[in-house]
Amino acid sequence: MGSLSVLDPRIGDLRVIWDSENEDEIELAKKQFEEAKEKGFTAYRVKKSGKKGEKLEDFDPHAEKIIMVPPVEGAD
Amino acid sequence: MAITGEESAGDMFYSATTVDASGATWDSWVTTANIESQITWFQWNEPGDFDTGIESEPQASKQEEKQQKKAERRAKKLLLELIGRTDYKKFSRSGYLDVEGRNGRIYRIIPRAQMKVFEGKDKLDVPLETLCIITPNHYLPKADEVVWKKLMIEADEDRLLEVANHFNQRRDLERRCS
Repeated sequence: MGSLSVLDPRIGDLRVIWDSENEDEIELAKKQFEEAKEKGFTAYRVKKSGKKGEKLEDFDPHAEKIIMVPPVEGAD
Repeated sequence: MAITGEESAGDMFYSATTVDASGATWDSWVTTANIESQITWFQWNEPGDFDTGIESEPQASKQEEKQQKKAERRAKKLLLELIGRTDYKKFSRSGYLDVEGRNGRIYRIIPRAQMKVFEGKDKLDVPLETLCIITPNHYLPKADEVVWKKLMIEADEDRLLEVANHFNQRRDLERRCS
């Protein structure tokens, strides 16, 4: 099972879970991923054990966990 | 009736507030501690609310407040999944999370505050600099802030350093002392 968390100010994160052997679920998760990317979100793949993550350019249906972060900028 | 009391022990001040005197229920513990010349507040409140106290949240209606608390709880679960129970407990107690970047550098993430950068684990007395980076238009729960900053440090450090505004504390400190 994989999970995609898109960070969100209203609810914490919008979470989509998929079975890596279920094409429909993969499609839904991928759609969510791409929509977030279009809005400027950055995706990071992490292992459920919490080890160091890595940046992800394309949706990976075999990822354990993907977290998507909104656009960032410097501030004072 | 709210009752507040304070005790001090060295640099540690404990202030406890109970909302309902007759119920004798301690609603929250507030601890302040000097951390690198910066007063850091955190609050532990079942089921685990915490507040660094560095920046006051925008005023919200009761409904919005309820929604915010719910979002914060959810964000904490995500943070717990990401960093594990041991580090989460440390974070809850101290109000900050130290994350190692490249070359042994330590980034200290304090929600709603600038991120401090140290040369290494054995040089946590004076930061090299502080960084300020935010998610504009997305006022995320504090725990989510810790999540994304940790991810950037570990997986996107170059971009973090490029995007963040840098403030050189060490230089400023030397100026004040010279």
